[in-house]
Amino acid sequence: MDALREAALARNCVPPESLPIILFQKEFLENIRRNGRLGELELIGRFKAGVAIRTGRLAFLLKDARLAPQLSKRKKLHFISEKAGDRAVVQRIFARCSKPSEP
Amino acid sequence: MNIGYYPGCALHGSSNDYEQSLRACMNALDVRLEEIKDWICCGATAAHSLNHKLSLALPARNLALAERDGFEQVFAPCPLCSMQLLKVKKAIADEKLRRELAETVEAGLQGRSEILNLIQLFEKVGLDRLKAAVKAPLESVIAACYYGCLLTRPPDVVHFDDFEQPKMMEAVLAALGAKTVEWNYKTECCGAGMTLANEDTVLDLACKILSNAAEHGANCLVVACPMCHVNLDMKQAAVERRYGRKLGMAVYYLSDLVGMALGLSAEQLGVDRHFVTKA
Repeated sequence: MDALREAALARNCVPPESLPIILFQKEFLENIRRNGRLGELELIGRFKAGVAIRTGRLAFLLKDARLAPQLSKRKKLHFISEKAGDRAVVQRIFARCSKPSEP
Repeated sequence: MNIGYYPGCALHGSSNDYEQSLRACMNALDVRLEEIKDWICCGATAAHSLNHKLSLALPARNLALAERDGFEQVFAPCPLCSMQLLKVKKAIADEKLRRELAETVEAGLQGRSEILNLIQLFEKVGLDRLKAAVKAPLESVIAACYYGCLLTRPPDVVHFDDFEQPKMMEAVLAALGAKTVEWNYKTECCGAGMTLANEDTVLDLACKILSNAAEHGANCLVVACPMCHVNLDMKQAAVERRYGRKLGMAVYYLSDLVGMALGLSAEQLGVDRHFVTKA
């Protein structure tokens, strides 16, 4: 199943209803590739913008906005996120794992 | 007791109440958590779904760092992170793959470290020791223990408890003087990381889980996963709005209840930062 999903994605075969999930997962990995650790606010911003642009659903940008002050009050929002110290090695790992497998 | 600690991204992000809780709890139990230096994200569901090689390489790097730091035991409080570490340990039993992964992550990789989830860490501390340390028995607690998907599955990777009818969380709570209920959704999925990308599914699953716990007489739900907590606590108001029912079900991390029984306050444990709080 996992191999079929990877093969379908390599051919850009994504059912419309799964588009937000795939966008989220791609943004998640890109975030890790750059930072080594997840930057939650950066991920949310880029994911929401991506869905809004790809689907034309601009209201999606503001969905859940009412949670922001509640998260902030609970000290759960971090405007500056943690990054791994050795991000270069993370980027090299991503590069090696993006190469097609040898037959 | 000194244990290697892999917090994972959630506990240093919006689930920092979980980290506050387990650190307070472990301090009270004289368990010293030593964070693995320069750990990286395990890739979570995204790597698992999109790139198989990466889903092994990212946790492999963390396992290698833990071994470099000499940790014989590594505590990963997020079940997804711990499952990813266990998956790598299993994969590198294949010598060729072990060598390839070591090269990919630029670090030696043996797979010797034992990986522990939160419940297993309390098992290591010992239920008799927990029982002896109780200062405030949890007599009013009637808990529905929620294991979710990843604490017990896939069983050939995690080898933890009975994967359909787990009981270890109930055993910990019994040592604290709490009652637990039998219910139907203890190992069902809550939607996990789909909170943002597929909210409809998450709200539907959360409604079923919370409602079933209430129907079976629980006055709280107990979890050992940051994603489960987000979906059942933070999203509970959205569930109530969508399905037009009042739930008011407090959702605790297991460490919250252990900490309370040890005499720690809600503020010390971060329980006051949850979305649903009991008056």
